[in-house]
Amino acid sequence: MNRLDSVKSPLLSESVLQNLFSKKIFTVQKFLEEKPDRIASISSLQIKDVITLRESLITQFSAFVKKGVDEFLDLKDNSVELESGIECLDNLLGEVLRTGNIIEICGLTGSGKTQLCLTIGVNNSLRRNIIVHFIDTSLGNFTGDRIENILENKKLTKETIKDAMNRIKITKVRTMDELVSTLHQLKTSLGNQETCCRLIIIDSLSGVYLPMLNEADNDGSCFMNHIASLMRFISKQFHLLFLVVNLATKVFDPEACLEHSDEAPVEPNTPFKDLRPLLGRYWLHVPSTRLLIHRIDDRNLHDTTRTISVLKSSSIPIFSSCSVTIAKEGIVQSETND
Amino acid sequence: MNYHLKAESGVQLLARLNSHQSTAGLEEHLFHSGPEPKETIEIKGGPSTGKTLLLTQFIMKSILPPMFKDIKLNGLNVGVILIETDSHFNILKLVNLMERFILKKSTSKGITIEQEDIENLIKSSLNNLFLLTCHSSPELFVTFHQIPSLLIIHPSVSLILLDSVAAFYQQDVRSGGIRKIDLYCRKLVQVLQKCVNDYNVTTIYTKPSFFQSKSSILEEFSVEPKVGKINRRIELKFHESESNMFVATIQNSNSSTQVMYTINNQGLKWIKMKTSE
Repeated sequence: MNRLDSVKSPLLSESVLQNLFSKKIFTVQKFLEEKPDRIASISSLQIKDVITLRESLITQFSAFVKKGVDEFLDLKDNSVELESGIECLDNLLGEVLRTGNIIEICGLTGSGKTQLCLTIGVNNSLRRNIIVHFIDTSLGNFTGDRIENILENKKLTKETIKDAMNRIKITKVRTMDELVSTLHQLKTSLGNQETCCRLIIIDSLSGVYLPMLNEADNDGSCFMNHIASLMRFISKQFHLLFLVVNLATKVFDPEACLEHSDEAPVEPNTPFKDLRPLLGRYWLHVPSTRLLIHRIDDRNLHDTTRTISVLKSSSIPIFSSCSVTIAKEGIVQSETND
Repeated sequence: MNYHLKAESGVQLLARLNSHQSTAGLEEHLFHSGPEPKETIEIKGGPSTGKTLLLTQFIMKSILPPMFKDIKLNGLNVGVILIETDSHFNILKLVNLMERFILKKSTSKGITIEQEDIENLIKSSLNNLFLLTCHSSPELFVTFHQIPSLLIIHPSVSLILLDSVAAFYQQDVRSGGIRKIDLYCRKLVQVLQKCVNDYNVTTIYTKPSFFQSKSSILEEFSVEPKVGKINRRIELKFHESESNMFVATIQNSNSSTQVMYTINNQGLKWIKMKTSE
């Protein structure tokens, strides 16, 4: 909330503020909603001054007007199309991995969500020479080891591996609060430096969200809202792509789920109706694209092939999919794929 | 003799003089001849049902000219203000849709147009689109109050779009705002309606399907445009049995219509109509 004070305008003197506060007009929003003549009679300001004040408050606090053509030229010049480096997935996604978007990868446990993120991160660091921020919520040091492992298995020179590793920055995050402050830090640091970061991976958002749900004062949804706003701002402002990992769970009794108010409803008659991404109903609408990575056969735990399906998108038909394999050098296109 | 003077404020006078063109013919499958000026329309739907895409299509129809080099584009040639909170709208998608649309229209007429001409047409049309991106609820409310002055500077604007009303709800509740979703939504739209009430503009906003109170009473639609009321609702849903098929239900004060549609790279494609009372 923007409270009215003398910093916002010299017209808001102590006595004017007192008069406004006595009529419960505390915020800029409330001030603007009142009719100017009423404000004038309350505050003993002249109507002319009230109008000037209104205008100055509007210019200070409203969003910046951007013409469509300027936005188009800005995006054309500054936005970048990233790639996953997995041929069939790139063919499927087309221009989806363009900066300025938030993309979610969801899947059951052990389906290969982290592997997919690491592969995309490594491939972009290698081919695009961009900085990749990897925000890791897991315990242990598996992430760094696996990144090195993927690079070594790609049969590259030591120099290339070192450079690529240097361009991937890993931040460990344990709680939602730490995640929020990490994003705030990124917001400031990305604005200051010239280095070209185009990809931020959060693995995983559900990892810091779930522990919060049992706290007495449950404010999971408020944090999600805050994080979503932050991510939208960062992705647009600095032209970068967010890749967010989310856990999915299997629904055994869809009707029982409807009892919980904040859980995502299950769409009937769709191919994955027994799967449900976590993070609540609010989050469901946040990513512009949602990808599901899943095993073809649940029982065969040694099977390394996976299917990646599109669950939400504005440009690709939903439920279209491609088949990939988890290998030593990360995720690659399945050989049987035609 | 009864002297009856009707006074109008300077703003109303300006609005009348600058009379913003009507948005009639925006999408005949949904509105027939409408929407009427000053109408408020709600678009409601789950994820991936095409809410933002529908808005993108409305923008395309609005900002394109009616004719271009003997090709009938059927555009309305009016300006659009888009207030963005969800940041789902993608201008490249809009440009892409426009390119496909112009090419399709020109090939069906057997006319070839240069790539450069298309680009210039798109760029000049995009001059009619005004984007306001908000990142917090206070910013959004102040932005609403900026719209009247924008409408005076740009008399061509006839359509105000808001995508979506739900973006800041959880944060607002946390900072002591209205908890009841229906009331929150109505209040928010009402502030916007009050700001544009003096002008001949149509307001359309989107709302995710989950965004309603548990004990939601069905709101009545108003016939006349009125602050605090909506005139139409378009509800977008997955088709119950056929895959990749969607249903749009259009409700207003006296009727309810259903239109089926699919989504492809040319946007929403309308299929057939069923009317039910």
